[in-house]
Amino acid sequence: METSEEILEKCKNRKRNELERYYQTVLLTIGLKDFFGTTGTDFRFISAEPKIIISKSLSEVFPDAVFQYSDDNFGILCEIKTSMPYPDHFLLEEFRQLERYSEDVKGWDTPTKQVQNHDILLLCHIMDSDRVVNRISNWISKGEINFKKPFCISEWGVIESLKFGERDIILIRHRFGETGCVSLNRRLRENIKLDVDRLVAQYEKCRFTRKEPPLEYIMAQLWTCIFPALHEKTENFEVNINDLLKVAYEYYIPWSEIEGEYSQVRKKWIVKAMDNFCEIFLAEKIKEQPENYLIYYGKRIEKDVGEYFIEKTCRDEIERARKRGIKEALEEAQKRLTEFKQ
Amino acid sequence: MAHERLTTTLSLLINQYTDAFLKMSRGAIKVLSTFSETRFVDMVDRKLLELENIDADFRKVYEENGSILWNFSIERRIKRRKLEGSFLALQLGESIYLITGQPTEFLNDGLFYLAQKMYPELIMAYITSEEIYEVLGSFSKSVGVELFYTKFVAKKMFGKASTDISFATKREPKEYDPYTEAFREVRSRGLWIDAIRIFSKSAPIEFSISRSGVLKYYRGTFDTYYNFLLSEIWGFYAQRLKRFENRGRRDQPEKEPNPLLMEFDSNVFEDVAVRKQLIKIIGDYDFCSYSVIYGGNPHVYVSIVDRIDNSSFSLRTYGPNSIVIMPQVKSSKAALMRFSKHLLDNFREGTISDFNT
Repeated sequence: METSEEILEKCKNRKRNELERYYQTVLLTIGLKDFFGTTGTDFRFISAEPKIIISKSLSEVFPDAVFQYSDDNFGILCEIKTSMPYPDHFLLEEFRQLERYSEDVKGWDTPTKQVQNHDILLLCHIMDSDRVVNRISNWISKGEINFKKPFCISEWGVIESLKFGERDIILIRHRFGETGCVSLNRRLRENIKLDVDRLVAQYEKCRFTRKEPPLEYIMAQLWTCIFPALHEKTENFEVNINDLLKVAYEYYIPWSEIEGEYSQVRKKWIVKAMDNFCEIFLAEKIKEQPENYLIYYGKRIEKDVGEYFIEKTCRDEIERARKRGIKEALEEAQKRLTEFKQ
Repeated sequence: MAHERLTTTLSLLINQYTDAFLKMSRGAIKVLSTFSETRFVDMVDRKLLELENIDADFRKVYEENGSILWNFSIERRIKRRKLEGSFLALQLGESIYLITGQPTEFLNDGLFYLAQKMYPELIMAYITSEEIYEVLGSFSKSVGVELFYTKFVAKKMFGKASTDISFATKREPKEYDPYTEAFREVRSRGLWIDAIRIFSKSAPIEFSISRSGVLKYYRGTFDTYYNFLLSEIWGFYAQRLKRFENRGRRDQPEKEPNPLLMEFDSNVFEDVAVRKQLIKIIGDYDFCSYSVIYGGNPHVYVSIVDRIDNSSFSLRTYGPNSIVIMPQVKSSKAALMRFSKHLLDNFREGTISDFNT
């Protein structure tokens, strides 16, 4: 049986990993934008926060990036995954969601908001790609999954790149299927190399993708970038959620200028982070004004606040799980006692 | 930020104070070069209200055309110990020199302490090893003397978690080498001069100068050092201050990032252990909060807040031999100066330039 310290360490490692993967995903998205904007491909990057609606049902789908062919008749809905779920039935469910991308959709960067046709590109992390390709081949051949549009899987990973002139590289490599675009297929088969160092300044403005960031990621952004922008001194101060959002909107700019596009930072993420600051006693909700918080910014905590947030939220999670376990055990005992009495 | 001239009256007044100390056995004058846009006494006045462990008396000795000289006596209580001493504060426009003949303990626990407490209004700048080399060359030329060294302190990159300090001392006067030899030697060993003690065989000149910008002189007069050494050092300070000015995103048109590039002379970041060590060095930075967003494989990205004035910036390793410092919404020149000095002292020496995005 694992000790509580081992459980805590495992939780912290998981959270550190999630945080790094999220950061990598942001870099990948910026890298794709840069790649399609500068390497003379037939594609252009449209957005990482598009509002894409299925034409028939008017329900929304949530691709992580959208590209369009230069003639605007053809597009790609791209899904970026930092990790793919275990066990297989969850993975299958993931693909069923992706199947929905096969429908005709609206929201493209054209006057009619439509294109003639589109493909689906799944970019999954290099650690998951073997398993994912193996399963999807199986499910497609058995008819469990049916993409009505061309479907392609490529893997991605950040690699140390002694081979590529000492630069950090995100490598994108073809693994399965084809898109409907010959030139893109060729590019993917030749391996796309995104120079991460090129993206250093762009990351300052684009720190979020459409996927909700790990809680500790947004807490770190608030503590080290947004709070200092609002207050001159390291002391406790009161803030309204909308003031935080204003700074976030001002400095983390939208991915494109398309009308109807989502903002990069969502209010609900900030609210969640602020509530979590309250949970770990670094903030307090002002009762009379529900969107106002008193931030204990003058409180002395560990210098490495990122690690502090991870540890605190882990301890919180473990404690909640323990209480839930006790409650369930008590309910089970009560049930048995009742059965016994009867 | 032009360097103000020293009037004859000022020179006489300062020399009067320093002479008494220089006549003492092993007497030395220490000069701490700082920068501020505020009047020194106003800062001290405000700080004294906050600091319960320091008392100060001061009187203005001279004022003319923006040049002011004050004479200070301070007493600092450190646990059961009392540290007392006097110093002169010479303000010439934005440059402030704190001059004392008291022992080194007073410099460290008195003047440095007071100066640190006045941060970020008062900025302690620094110079690099290569800048010391240039300053000495210029001093030698201007004064018309050949300069020799008696000892130096050299530093190398944390050397796997420790700083190496080397002393080279000679005995016979004829054995002493020109200062250029010390620089040649440390360069050949991949080190940097942190401080060097210099003398002239033909003129009453003997002093030491450090990367922290502290001048200690054992012979000579203040005006000589001021005119030919401190003014040169001030030139480097001014360049650096200008580079760190208006870097925050809120100061930029379109709120674009305005990053700085710190380049080192070898591919230090090829070694993953060095990247990890860099994070540890950031952790040793006083009065900061930080969050490691990406931990060193293959690069490092850390968000940092200066807890004194709430400046924030990110640090990211860039390629095998550079760091990009990315000022965030608000980022003061004082904070950038303090942080870059921390890297210089604890990581390694590098050159700072604008990063072209």
